[in-house]
Amino acid sequence: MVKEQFREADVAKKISHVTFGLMSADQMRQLGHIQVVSKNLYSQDGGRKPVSHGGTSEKDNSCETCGKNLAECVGHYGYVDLELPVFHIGYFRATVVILQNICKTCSRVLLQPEQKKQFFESLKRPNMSYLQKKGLRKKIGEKCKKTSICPYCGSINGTVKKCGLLKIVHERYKHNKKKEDAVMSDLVIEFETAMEYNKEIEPLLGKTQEMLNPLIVHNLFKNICEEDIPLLLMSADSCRPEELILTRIIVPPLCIRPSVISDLKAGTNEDDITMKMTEILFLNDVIVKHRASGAKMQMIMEDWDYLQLQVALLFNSETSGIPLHMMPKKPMRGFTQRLKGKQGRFRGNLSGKRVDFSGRTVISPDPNMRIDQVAVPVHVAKILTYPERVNYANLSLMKKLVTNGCDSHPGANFILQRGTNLKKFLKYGNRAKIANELKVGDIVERHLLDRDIVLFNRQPSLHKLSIQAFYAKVMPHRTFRFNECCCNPFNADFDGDEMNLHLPQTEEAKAEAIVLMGSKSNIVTPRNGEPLIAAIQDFITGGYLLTQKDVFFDRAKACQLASAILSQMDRSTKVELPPPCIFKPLKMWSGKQIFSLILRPHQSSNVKINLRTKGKNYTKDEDLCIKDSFVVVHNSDLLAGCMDKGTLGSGSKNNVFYLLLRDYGEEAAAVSLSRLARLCPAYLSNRGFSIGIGDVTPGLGLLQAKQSLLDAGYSKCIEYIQELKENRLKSQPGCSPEETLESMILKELSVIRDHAGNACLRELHKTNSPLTMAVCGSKGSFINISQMIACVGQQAISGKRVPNGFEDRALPHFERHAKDPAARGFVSNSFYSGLTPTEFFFHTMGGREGLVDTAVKTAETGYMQRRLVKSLEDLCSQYDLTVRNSMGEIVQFVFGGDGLDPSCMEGKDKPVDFKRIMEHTQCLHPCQKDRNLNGDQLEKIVKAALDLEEFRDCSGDFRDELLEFVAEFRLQLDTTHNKYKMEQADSPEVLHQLKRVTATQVKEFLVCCRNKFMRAKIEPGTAVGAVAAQSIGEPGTQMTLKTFHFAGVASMNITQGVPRIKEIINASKNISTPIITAHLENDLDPEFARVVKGRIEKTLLGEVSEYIEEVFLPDDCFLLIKLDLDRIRLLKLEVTSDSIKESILTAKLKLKPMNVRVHSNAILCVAPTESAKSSMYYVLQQLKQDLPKVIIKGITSVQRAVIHVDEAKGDSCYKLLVEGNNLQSVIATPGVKANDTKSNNTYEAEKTLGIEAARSTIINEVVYTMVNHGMNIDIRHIMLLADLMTCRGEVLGITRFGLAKMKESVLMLASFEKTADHLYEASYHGQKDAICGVSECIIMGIPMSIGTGLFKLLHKAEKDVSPSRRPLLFDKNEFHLSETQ
Amino acid sequence: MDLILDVNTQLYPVDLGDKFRMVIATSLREDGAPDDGEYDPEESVSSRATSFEYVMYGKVYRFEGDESGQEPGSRLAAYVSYGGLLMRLQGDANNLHGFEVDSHVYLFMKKLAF
Repeated sequence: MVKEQFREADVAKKISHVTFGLMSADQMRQLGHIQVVSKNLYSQDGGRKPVSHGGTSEKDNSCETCGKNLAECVGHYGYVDLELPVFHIGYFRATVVILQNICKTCSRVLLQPEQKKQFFESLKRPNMSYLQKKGLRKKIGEKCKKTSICPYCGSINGTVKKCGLLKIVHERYKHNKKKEDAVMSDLVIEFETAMEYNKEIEPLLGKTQEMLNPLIVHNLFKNICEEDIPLLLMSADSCRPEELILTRIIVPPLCIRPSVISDLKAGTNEDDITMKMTEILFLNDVIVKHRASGAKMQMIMEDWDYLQLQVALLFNSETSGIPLHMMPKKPMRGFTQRLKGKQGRFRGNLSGKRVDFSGRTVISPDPNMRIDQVAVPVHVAKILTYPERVNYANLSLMKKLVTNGCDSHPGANFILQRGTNLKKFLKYGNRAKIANELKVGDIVERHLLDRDIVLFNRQPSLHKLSIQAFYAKVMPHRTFRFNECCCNPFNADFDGDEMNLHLPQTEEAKAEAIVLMGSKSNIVTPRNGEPLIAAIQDFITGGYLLTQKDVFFDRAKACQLASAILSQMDRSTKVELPPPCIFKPLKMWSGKQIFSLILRPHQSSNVKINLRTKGKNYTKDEDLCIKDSFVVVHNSDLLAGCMDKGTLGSGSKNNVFYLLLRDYGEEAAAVSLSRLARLCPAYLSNRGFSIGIGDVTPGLGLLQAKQSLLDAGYSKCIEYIQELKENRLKSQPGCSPEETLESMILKELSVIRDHAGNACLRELHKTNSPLTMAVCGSKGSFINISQMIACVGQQAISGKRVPNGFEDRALPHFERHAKDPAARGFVSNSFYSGLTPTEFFFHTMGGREGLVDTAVKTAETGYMQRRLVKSLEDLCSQYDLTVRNSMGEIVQFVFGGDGLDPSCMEGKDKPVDFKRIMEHTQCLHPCQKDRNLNGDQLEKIVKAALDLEEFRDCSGDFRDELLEFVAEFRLQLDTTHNKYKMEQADSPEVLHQLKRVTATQVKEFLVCCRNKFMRAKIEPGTAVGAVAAQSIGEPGTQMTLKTFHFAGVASMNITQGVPRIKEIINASKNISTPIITAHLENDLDPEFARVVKGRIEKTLLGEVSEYIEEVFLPDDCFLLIKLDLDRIRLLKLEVTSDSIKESILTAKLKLKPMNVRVHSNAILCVAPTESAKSSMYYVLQQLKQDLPKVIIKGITSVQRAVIHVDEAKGDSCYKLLVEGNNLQSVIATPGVKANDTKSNNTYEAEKTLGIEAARSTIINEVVYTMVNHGMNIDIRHIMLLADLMTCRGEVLGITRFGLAKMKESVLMLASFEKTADHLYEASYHGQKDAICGVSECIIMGIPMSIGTGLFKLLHKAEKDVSPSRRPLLFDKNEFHLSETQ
Repeated sequence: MDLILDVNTQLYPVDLGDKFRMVIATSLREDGAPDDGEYDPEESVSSRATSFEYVMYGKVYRFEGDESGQEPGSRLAAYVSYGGLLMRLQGDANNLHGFEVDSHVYLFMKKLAF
């Protein structure tokens, strides 16, 4: 059964849209095959066979209705007529709203005729969006609520509200005491007799409510005239309001509620829905009987209520507010529950489907695999099959496979002969015969073979690199094996991880998979263009040790190592041993020479990369770095420096394989990486690299160094503590002395561990294995080493030292209020020396925090990722370079502002690293014969070239950047030329080697730059949205717990990490740490800064007054406020006693100007006035409490402002950090430079400065947070996110509320969150859903218009030639009677 | 002339104060004809190496001018890498005659008695 190639041929039957609507009772009857009246599950005629209406659920029984078997019967509906109508739980809200909108007497919509006309006008618009519809409905609803007297029949309408579960109440008689006399008197007359006998009724008469039961509502809805229906925003052509009330229930076919024949007990296990239906039927019967027999009204009402509830539970079994006695005994799954949630129909079955031809097993490493290969166990290969069509070329192979059958590996499982529909299983039967009869055109389901293309995936699939296409390699044993270099994109390790494998089933799928998803094509991550597939761990260690300066091999060893390269693809590669670097006294090859063979195994290879970069341990003097950590690769020869993480590992654009990839294509990079994966382990296993107890035993020197570090740190801490005790400690800005002490001690102690790490680096022998690993960056850090050998260090819990777990102390082993390092979680021992019990306890505390944090964070980031992807999934770059969503709405005019692909950025957010390309070209083309260029000549060539036709395609920005680089280069050239007087004819030849650049080189350089730029342009169809979402979401999972201090100000913590990202993308209005950064007009003067600070910071009267006293005189009493003038002067507060008087008067203390008297510039009197409610004394006391809280200066919403010394601009540059909201007031404060004032609150920015400011705030904040965590994300991704969030003119969060405002599609929204609500609402409105977005297309199984689906192949159809017109029969002359006759 | 040179001291121990004779040539052959840069393990006829104690093979990869100072000068530095063992030869341009980027060179060393 070969999957046919996908062809969109049958254009006549395309799903254009999905319409949601209500199903009327008539439609239900039409759909149903049977009216269900019996609740019996089994036939009652003694046979006790299960009754199966609506299909069949057993293999051997065919359907009683249509006679087809299980696979073919589609199922048949039935219906139940309800004796009394009931509310539909899903439309209950809508029902109430409609009731609020219509007159409860005449069913007209409660709008004045002129208002109606106005609304009809706006309703006439043909292309009203879903959002506008919802908005209009709300607006009409609000208008109707205000109308109480129906303009058509004049009757009075009260409020309609929900009252208990599924009950609606109409308060007709409640208010309008005067007007409704007529109504009221009717009511009184009705109750006259009753009142006569029961006096208690009378006072309650005013509270009469009208119950709107389903019957009444149904009748009201029926009476709504056709003309008014659009005002309810229902679509008039498809549904009527009365359809919101259920009078008939449809019974789903058996395939929806399968009955399972039970193995344990007799009979069947029935589905929840079936059981609920029987219950409903039963209740319905009861009501019928009661009504027939004339039972008590009460009983019927009770049954009706119960029926109502059961029907509600059928649709939504999680209905809340059910009275206790009606509560269902056991929980069931209603229709809503079937749809919603992760396992529900939408997310579990429609958006994600189970597949055939897939496998899953444990993974293990195999450095002998190429990076685009995966080893598939034979077991798996025998089960996964590929339907291959037999042709002349593969006939003999297929014959062999068929002969082998399904039990021996290169075999086949099934065969499908051409023309027949019969699949033959090859396990049995005469295989040789079948093989002989094999014809061209037959389909052989052959086993997976070597070089088949498979998709390889590991969960969680956080980014597109989590699933990649590999070439299969069938191997013995039971695990999937692949090159360790490919671990990074999957985030896989081999501690028992399992991975999935899929085998694409058509040639098209295979081709598309290997081109787009192939691991070779995905070496770089689109997040920032850095390589992700690169050497890891031992490969880096091996590379590092091999390229050490003191590694030399004799000929035998060199040849042996070099031959490690020879394998697989390189089996027949010519490997040319270079001349030895030492000829005499012994012929010796250096490790660097052997390493160079990885890049360029023989001289005739034209793969030449060039690199000059600092290594991890670079000191100074470039090439002559004392640690040999300046890497120079010249035409693929490693000339200096040892390789380390930066030049071999992932996450660096100085990686040699990255250069190979960019300059010579993916194949060159992949082959080189495979060579490295064989050479490095070969060297490492020959050399030996292991770790032992000796490696973590500290020497005497290290112990001494550690001790002196500890002593110094401890004595400092004790000194600080002493200072605090003696009140000598100088507080940091915005901190109390205790806080200052804490932050100083913490800083002191955390430094100890780092210093200990450095001491380890200094003291340990260079052959120490952990040290080697840390130095080359393959695994572990100096801190890890320090923890093993020297000192574990300070244990921090949420960024602070260990808090008190006991009274005034962390553990009972310490004295109360102890502040010394050991009492607060400093672990001075190392893991080698062993921890004391208290240290151990503190260490577990720190460890626990980390564990909890990761557990919490995975759930949080997972959800964040899902939301990001859902909102960005349909953004796609188009052929006109814009980024649009599936509806064709433009989100960005040019992707990222320049239309470049983030994965092609060679520089920092730039497509080309000019400096590197220039050096590369200079090395690549020595052109020793050519003359040097001087500055003028250089510039002339460049200018001329840039005007050429081929540079027209490059953007202006790019050309400017290029010119800028050339100008700088020229400057250097000119200085050198001048200095060495190169223009002179007699200058020595060798001088021309200096800063040598020739015409050919410049031309090559320009061509190279242009090519790189053109290649970096984003391809139309790229799913930029999904990539952006993944690029932002995926690093979130790696963000570890870290608390950051706001540059320099210890007390000012700002939320960081995942919580901060969450805040930003949720567009929260109240962020946890709002900070406004205000630059000052005079930023050099600390006094000026203090003045402005005084203007901004909230200052209370209590803070500046010396005392507030009650004064009682024989004839008077008042409060005396004495201001602390010194303090006011010190704080540079611009307040006087008069301004304070003003503040007191405006502070809502109910004081009049005469109550407040200013006596001097330091003394105010506030006199209380007696009020009706309380005596003078209490007013006085109240005032005494309230007065200190009066704000006399500053902005209310600002908690604190801190003067901050801007370190970047030198010591004496001051700015203000304002903690709190209200950007507008801060900007308006005199002394603040309004242009440079920023808030980190997007909502504030939008409110104050507008939507563009909000956009840039989002970008800046996301970048800032990510950079703080060492995550490097291309700015274009963040721009896209910010643009999406702001493209509607207001900041929309990536939440269910924001998403509902961004997207129209019901299916998409339903597959996200609140499934049932969206569906009910859509059907109320009769929403039409065009199938164009990604989610919708997946649900409907239609190819989406993203990526390769963006374009359609159009072909010019030959128009049918219209048939020539035949002359009319009677016009022909031969049929005419001759006139003569 | 200034010289910085990495020497494999395990094979050829050198001490502070040692005097030596050093030759840099483009060929091993006595006749000075340039060789093809390919290694032939059999080749050993009439080699210039016989008269020296320590011979290295490397590549000139970089020239560097003196960046500091404004006054015109002619001091140059040539960088040679002998399979990772680096040499920087710094001196007047006239003394560095014949050095060319990307060319292979041999370094011959012989200790002098005093």
